[in-house]
Amino acid sequence: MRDSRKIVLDQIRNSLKSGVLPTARASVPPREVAVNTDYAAMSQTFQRDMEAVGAKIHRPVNSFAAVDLVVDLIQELGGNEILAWDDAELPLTGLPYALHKAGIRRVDQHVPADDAGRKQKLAALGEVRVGLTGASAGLADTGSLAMISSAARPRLASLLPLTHIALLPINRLYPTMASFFAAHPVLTQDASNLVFISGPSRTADIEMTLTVGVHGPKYIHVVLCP
Amino acid sequence: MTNVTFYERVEDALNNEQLHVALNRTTARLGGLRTTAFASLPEAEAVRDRARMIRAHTISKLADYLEQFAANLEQCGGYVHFAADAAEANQIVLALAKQYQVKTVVKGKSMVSEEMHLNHEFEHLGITVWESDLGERIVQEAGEMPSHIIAPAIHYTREQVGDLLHKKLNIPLSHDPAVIVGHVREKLRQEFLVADMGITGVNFAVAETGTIALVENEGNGRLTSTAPRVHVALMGIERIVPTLDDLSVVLQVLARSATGQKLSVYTNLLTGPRRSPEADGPEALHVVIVDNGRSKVLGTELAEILYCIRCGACLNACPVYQQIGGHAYGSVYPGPVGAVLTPGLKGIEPWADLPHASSLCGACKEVCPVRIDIPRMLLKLREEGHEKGLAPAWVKMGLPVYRFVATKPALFKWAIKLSGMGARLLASAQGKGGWLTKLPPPLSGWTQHRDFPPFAAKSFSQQFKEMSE
Amino acid sequence: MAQSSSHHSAKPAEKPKSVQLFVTCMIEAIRPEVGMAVVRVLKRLGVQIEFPTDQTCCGQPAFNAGAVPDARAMARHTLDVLSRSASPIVTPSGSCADMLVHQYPALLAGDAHYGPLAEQIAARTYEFSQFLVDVLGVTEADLAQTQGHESVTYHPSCHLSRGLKVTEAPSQLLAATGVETHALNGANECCGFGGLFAVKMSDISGAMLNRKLDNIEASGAKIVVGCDVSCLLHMGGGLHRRGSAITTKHIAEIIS
Repeated sequence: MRDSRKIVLDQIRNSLKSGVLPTARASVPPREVAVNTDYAAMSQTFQRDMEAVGAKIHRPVNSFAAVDLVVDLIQELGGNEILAWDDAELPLTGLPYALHKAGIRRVDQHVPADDAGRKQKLAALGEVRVGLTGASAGLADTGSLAMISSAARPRLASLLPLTHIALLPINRLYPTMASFFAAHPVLTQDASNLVFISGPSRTADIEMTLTVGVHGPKYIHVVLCP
Repeated sequence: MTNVTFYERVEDALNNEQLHVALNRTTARLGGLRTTAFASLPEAEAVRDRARMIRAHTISKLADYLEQFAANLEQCGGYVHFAADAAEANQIVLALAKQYQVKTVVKGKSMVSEEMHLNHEFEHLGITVWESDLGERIVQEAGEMPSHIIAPAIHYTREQVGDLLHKKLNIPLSHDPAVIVGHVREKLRQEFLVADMGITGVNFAVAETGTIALVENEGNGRLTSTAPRVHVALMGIERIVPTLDDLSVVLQVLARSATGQKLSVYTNLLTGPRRSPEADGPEALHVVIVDNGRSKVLGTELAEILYCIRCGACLNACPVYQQIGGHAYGSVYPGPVGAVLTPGLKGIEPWADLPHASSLCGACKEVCPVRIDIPRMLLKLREEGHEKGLAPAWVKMGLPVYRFVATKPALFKWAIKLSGMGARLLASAQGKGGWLTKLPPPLSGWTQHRDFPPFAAKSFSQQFKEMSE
Repeated sequence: MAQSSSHHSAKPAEKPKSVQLFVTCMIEAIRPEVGMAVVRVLKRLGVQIEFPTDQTCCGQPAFNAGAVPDARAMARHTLDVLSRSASPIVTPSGSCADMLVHQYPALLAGDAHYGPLAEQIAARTYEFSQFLVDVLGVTEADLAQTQGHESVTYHPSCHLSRGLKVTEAPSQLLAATGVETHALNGANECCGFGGLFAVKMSDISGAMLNRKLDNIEASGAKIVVGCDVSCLLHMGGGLHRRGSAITTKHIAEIIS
């Protein structure tokens, strides 16, 4: 059998002997990565950038207020079903009970591996109007949420519903993406998916006119948890 | 490439009123957004320098990093395929479609798939392909190629988009982008949820982790790489960065250069397929690494073009692109980057005109986030074309004469005098106060759009000499 | 005046008493009055002019056409002509200066004799406005007497601003003369000249030119000022075709 990997790599190595590569150096020198624990200040820039792209930021005074806020939000959106991360992944201890009491039901989020089961499940999940997640981190300099996938943290909760509510503990803010990577050196080994979300799904493909709510959530609520 | 010449495509483009409306509305806006976005980046120039350093270093060790990336991705359960050319890449993808019994494919943006004409190959097999990026879908429904790396449908006005999608997708007619997008969401959601295979491009592949990064705004890339049971990602051999930290640097300049955002809405980092306990995600991930001429470019003086991170900023800044749009270039990659990449990948012979479609104004180099010296390489390609005798006859014959004259001062002065006499003779017949309004070929190009001023009665040399005496 | 920017690692320690004028073929043949204005300005500032009479063309048209051997031949001739004197070289053209400063050293890098010579010449070659501001340190007082011009707008030519990175000097000189200056929309966009580009890709070039001329006409200025006669010739030819009353002037003509 033709070994295309070897053919391509050999051809690259051969070309590197003659190619002109301006300013190429033997290594990229290491650099200082920003460290910041001023969460109040970082939450300000995070909020500014998130709001600039149309997300809504909530700052409840304490966790009781936060729980009430989330339940109210879901009820306002007319949902009694949500696509959500597992209880243990939601950083508000009273929230699961409050949701239960309010009659808000969590749909089973596990997608079966077989084709028919998979498509049936996806179709069902596609009907749910609200997604509720925690957040693995927030990036202050770009106004982004980081979501790491797992059994308890489905990707689809922040993707399929028209509205996405994310709970971000304020002490999970990092100044930059680089500082987040530096603090989590093995994160790509632990999960198949990490996504940074910087606002509602949008497009500018028609005359560069900004339009939100294309394929992902149109509305994003970030609850900054104290 | 079609049989239509570059000049014919340019003529069509320049005569296309709607294209001008669309390009004027969009390129200026993108350029302005880029400027604002870089103003928000502390030490922007230093970040650009570092991004360039990362790209240059990576390309200089490309084979090593590709091996590292492949090994790491395979460790995480992903499959890695190498394809020497577009035909082999198509074979690989079509074999995968067969293996997984695929009937429908949903596709995110991928310029490599354009190189492969992949949609066409799928259609031959009776497999339905749905483009999911709005701009890509617009050009797919119109039966066209993208005219911009970042904004495929940049050449369309909102009115044209509304009419086209109303007809092709059977959605209600509207010319309001927000309304159109709402209908498209409903329509395409069904496709995502039933497709058997998702195909996307790759913005960067991280060698140290085996991660692919996919950057997008609509969520179509996320859905394409999450909902279908098989995800196939297509990448050029040069899309590598060594580390996650390096990734964070190039991401700082990519979205700012492309769309003026600090970061795109979705930056997807995918490391292998769904792990067994995970709630969702594809059951299989295949990454196809495509050469298709790139390794040949790597061995030449054009290798620097492989530093490119495909932001499209050079297109928006280019005064030629602003006038003729992407389709006139006739190739997958338009604009300044395309004018280098296309002849590099496919050979100069059929593409000899592209490197000349530039006034060498340097706007592309100025905006390039990794400071690629595109004008230098356009000149290099002109040199290659000239050496291979691809220049027009008058240029080929004229230049040696010009050289002969210009290296002999006395002859040079005499030639100027003679040209002046000739010009005066011509001008006197044209009656415009000494200005030439119509020059004979091959110089007639000049007088198509501008007059030529009279030669001076006394040259500078004469005047300076008289003054000094 | 603040120094604009420069490729020159070592600036002359003291103001040069004499310069070599590389006048360019456009000025030699079509706009000699620009060259004479340059001479007047430099003399007034106490600089003597050397004019090597066997200078011809820098070779840029051949270089841009990809005819590298032809461009090299012209570069060698020009280097021979300019290396006979140790004086700095001043040229009233951003693009010819860029050719001497950036392209000659690259073109002749492999040449044992002309390679080092190209580097030496590059290090002492200046575009006219750059020389006035960066080397002579011209002050407002030097230019105060130059008045009485109609309103102008300034077009920064591409090789001057992006090649040589001379972006401030021309505007500083114009400001010092007190001439009424109008802002130009899309000032940094190319006028579409590009040498043979204007002939070979005439339609694209013409479209670029028309956009530039629309902006010039909208600026309200009576004169377009530039530092490159070739670009001025291009814009002037377009204005003449339109029947516009706006004229083109090299910056030397404004301050002479």
